[in-house]
Amino acid sequence: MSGARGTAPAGTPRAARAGRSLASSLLVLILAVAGCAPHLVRVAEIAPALRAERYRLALAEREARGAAVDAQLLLWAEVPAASRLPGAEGRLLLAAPDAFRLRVGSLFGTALDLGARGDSLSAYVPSRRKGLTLDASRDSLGILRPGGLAFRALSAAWRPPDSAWPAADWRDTLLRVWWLEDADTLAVAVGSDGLPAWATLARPGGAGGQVTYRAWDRSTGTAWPALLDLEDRGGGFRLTCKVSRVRFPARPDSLRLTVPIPAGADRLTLAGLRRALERLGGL
Amino acid sequence: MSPAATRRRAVVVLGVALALALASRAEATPPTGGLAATRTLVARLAAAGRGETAVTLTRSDPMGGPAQVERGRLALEPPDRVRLDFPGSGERIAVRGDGGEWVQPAARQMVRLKREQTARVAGLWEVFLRGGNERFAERVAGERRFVLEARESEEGLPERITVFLDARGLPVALEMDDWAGGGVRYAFKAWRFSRPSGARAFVLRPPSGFTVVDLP
Repeated sequence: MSGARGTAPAGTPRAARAGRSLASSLLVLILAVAGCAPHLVRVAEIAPALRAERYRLALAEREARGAAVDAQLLLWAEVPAASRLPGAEGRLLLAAPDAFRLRVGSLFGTALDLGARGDSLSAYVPSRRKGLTLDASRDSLGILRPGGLAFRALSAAWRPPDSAWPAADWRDTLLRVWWLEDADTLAVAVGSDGLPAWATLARPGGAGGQVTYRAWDRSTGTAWPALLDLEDRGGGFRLTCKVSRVRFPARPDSLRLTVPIPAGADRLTLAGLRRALERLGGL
Repeated sequence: MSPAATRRRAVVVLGVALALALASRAEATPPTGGLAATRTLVARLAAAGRGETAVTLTRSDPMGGPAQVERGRLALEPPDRVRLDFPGSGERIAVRGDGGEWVQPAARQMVRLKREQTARVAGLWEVFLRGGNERFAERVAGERRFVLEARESEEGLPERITVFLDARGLPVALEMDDWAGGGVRYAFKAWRFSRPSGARAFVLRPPSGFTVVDLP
């Protein structure tokens, strides 16, 4: 893993300016003591257009690589007011643009097998022999196109429309671009390296979530999310994912992306699925 | 071998181990009925107090890819002590009557198991302790081969286990589903029986830097 980076900037612009001022003063002092004439160097702010272009290039790489992804995961679920849960190990398959499968292990075998393609979502809890298959809609699942949303979150494949970039604004050192999809508001904050620091989805009524990209793996030649946090907007649930052993097969295998639910499995409710997600590591 | 596969492997091997250990307790008390698949092992464990064997796991990959293989060591001491060590991954599991530990190097954590949780893990094998007929039906599937079929589906219980015995009647292999579309085979080699090491040999300590977490 490489390229560890903080999340959203912690300091205020004023504090950042103060820090830069102090650093500049120290530099001048060192140079003066060394007998060299100090030269003030003005660091040019990267133009939004350049940063947007960096983002597009890196995004295109991730989208291309995301055609087929096979990775190992370590997952830590956090629920406020709940006791700390053990980490859980899992395996993740991704297939652009809208498919994923996540299989999580547990003390008693496989804890959860979860997958989606487009609007279709499937889940199976083997130890309880309960499964769920549904076509997502706002009325039942609460989000549209869960497969595409998960793919974008896990591969950082957020693609703002070109029309959104001119309205991008600065959030300290991050360039924030936002746009609308259906009734949802999406935003991505882009760092100087052209990689997203975080992305948010806000739904009418206050629901939504955020994914924060805390570290990137560049070992394959493509910067890929290596450590990310997913949390709901209300702060009720947080999932930290550490991604490792990322492979990019030549093509996706649709069979492997399918969650098999045995005939005769009992029905898993959405509430049951949420409980399973919240208890990863404790199942 | 992937961490997730290692974890699933260890879990099922643990179940197997507990089965054998608890089966020995059944045999040590009144040997009423019991399963032919474990009868000889039960008797040897009861007589010596401890059994050890090398374990080789071969597990199919339900998400594609080649089968995964890992080797480890299993120790059993009746009535309820089980320890598994996998040097390749560093994963270790120990279970005894008052609880257990599970060291997971991939997550740099040691998970502590409470007594009732170990009992849940051992749920399958308690059927052997009670004679086996309550939850499993046994049938002969060939020479020195037995199939154990669950009478009812229960959480944590495989639907079917196939047990292979050697000429002495000791298990040389087990095959079962992992409840999620995967197949698992465990091969046992060179059973050794000796005096018990005692409960302290079945308590794990967290390696330096590991987080200790209770299984909720």
